[in-house]
Amino acid sequence: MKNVLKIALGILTSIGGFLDAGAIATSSEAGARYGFRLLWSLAFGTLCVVFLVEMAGRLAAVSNHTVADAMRERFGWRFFVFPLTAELIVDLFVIASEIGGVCLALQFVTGIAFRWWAFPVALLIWLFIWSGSFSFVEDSTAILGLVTIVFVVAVVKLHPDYHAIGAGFIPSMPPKDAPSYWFLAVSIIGAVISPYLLYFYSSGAVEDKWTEKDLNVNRGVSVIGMGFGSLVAMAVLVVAAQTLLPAGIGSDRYEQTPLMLSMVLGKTGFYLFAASVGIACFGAAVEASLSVAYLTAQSFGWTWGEDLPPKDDARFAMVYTVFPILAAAVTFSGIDPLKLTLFSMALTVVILPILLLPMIVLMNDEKFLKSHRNGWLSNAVGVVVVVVAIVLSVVAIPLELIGG
Amino acid sequence: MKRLQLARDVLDQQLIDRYECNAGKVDGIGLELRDGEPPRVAFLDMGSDVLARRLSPRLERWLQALRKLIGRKTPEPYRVEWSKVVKIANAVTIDIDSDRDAPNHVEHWLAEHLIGRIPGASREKKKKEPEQHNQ
Amino acid sequence: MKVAWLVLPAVLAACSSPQKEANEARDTAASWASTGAVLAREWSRGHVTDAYTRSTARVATEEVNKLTKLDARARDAQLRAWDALERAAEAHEPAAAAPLARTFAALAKKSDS
Repeated sequence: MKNVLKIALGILTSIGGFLDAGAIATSSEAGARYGFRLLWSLAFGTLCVVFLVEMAGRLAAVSNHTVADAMRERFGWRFFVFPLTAELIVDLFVIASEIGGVCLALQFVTGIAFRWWAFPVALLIWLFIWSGSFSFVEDSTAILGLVTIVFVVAVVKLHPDYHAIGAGFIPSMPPKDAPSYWFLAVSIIGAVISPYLLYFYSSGAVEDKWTEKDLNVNRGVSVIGMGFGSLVAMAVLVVAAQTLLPAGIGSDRYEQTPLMLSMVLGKTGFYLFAASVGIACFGAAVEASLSVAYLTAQSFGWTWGEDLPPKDDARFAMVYTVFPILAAAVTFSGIDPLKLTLFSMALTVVILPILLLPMIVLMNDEKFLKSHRNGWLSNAVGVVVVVVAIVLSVVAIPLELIGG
Repeated sequence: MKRLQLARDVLDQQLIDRYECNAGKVDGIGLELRDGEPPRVAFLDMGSDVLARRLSPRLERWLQALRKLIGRKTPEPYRVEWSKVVKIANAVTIDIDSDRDAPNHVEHWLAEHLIGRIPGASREKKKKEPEQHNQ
Repeated sequence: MKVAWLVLPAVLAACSSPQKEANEARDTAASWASTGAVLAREWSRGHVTDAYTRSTARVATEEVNKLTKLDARARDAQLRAWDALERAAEAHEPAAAAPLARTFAALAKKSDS
């Protein structure tokens, strides 16, 4: 019974972790420009993230090590410094994108330009982490995140052609504009596989004192939870394909996207869209900021724990205090949040190989995983993700320049 | 007797002090060279200088120059005698009090001057144990 | 990574013909005109707020202004429509939106052909 509760909560959490600025932006752009055609890349990204999250949880449950701890131990400082630096840089842009998403939601409702919201939003993120415990952060972002189900409701109301949706899961060539099609496919995968999620998830498992007994919970949470988050992202894509595409609206700026729900659900749709974007991005910003603090503290062996009073882990608290402010400065600079989001998603794909390859090696190490090492399937999926990420990162940057 | 590999089982491991608090990582290992005898492990090193040196000696010099520039004394890397090592398992346990002995001056400075001064810094976040939720 | 940078200039050169740029500008203009049509309609029905309409009109003006490769008459016509929508939103007059929706729809159709 307790396990069922744990899984339910984990599922709610992963909606918050899954759906963020990147997923909403890339899914709605994909739907608006290519109909259902890019559903396959969402599905592929989901499959990858399910396996990766399961690995991160298993590592934490069996070895009592977080991903960051284990990576530094196993590969040494001289290697670890590279994934660490790469991840911190990407996280800065990811958090800036998430803050941008919250700011835009506020702009939709108030009409006040998004950049003026950047620092107030950063303050709110900090306040949330500062005063809440781990389960408070986990539960509240999860329960608030339920509002995003409005996209699934909209799909049901639109009566789309489910056969056509099914066809979207088979990769196909674009009718036009091949470079931007592939760039968008790359961005979707980058949006779905957020590395900060792995650091966050494994740290949470250690904070919650998972043991080998929790491996089934871990499996349930990663499969059903990530699957559910992905379902919402797919719903965003389908709604955009059913509303923006026929109306001839390409999603060039975030400002065009609220129309997709107001066209289906009227004024309620407009407000729920703003709420969904605002809450999903806020939850992601909180999780990513905490994840940066976890990563830094674990890299240098500091005391850490979201459940401790901040004074007892001052350096950890310092990181999650300073980082959102830095990110807010990026948002405040006035870069178009949609461009910033797509940029950070492509950057994520570029650094994926250097983060994931060591992780796969780690998952086969008896010292950490004992009898729970990766099976052939997990290894195969891991290798495929790394290879795809390498291929994609070689094309991601040039495609961005052409596409942008 | 279990075999111990220094680079795999000691270097870059988590350090835990006598009160089971995190006390940094094993950033470096020092060997003592002795005449006519094999070298032996003398101490564990901790600190940013050691980390910088492991990447490149130049980086360490830059770090020290930077410290001089802002007027801070260059601290010797913090050393833990090998004899203080109590246990090597999931982490390396050392018999020190990291609050008093370890190079946690940044942590203390922050706790005292910055983080500790923000309202709510000492508040317990978790009042109840999760067991109490079960009815 | 290095290979990508070598290939890049060639790829960039291949795809930036004036013809293609003009086509892209027309596509973007059509997308914004369609946005205007839907936005004006949604606003007149009370589905979206005045504030949102106003700020979106501002963003659209910004974006359409960037389309230097677009035929100047088409651009000015669309800019005028956005300006009218922004002023109507500022004056809280959703009644003015219905004819504007038709203007935008016509603009979208024109740039499509």
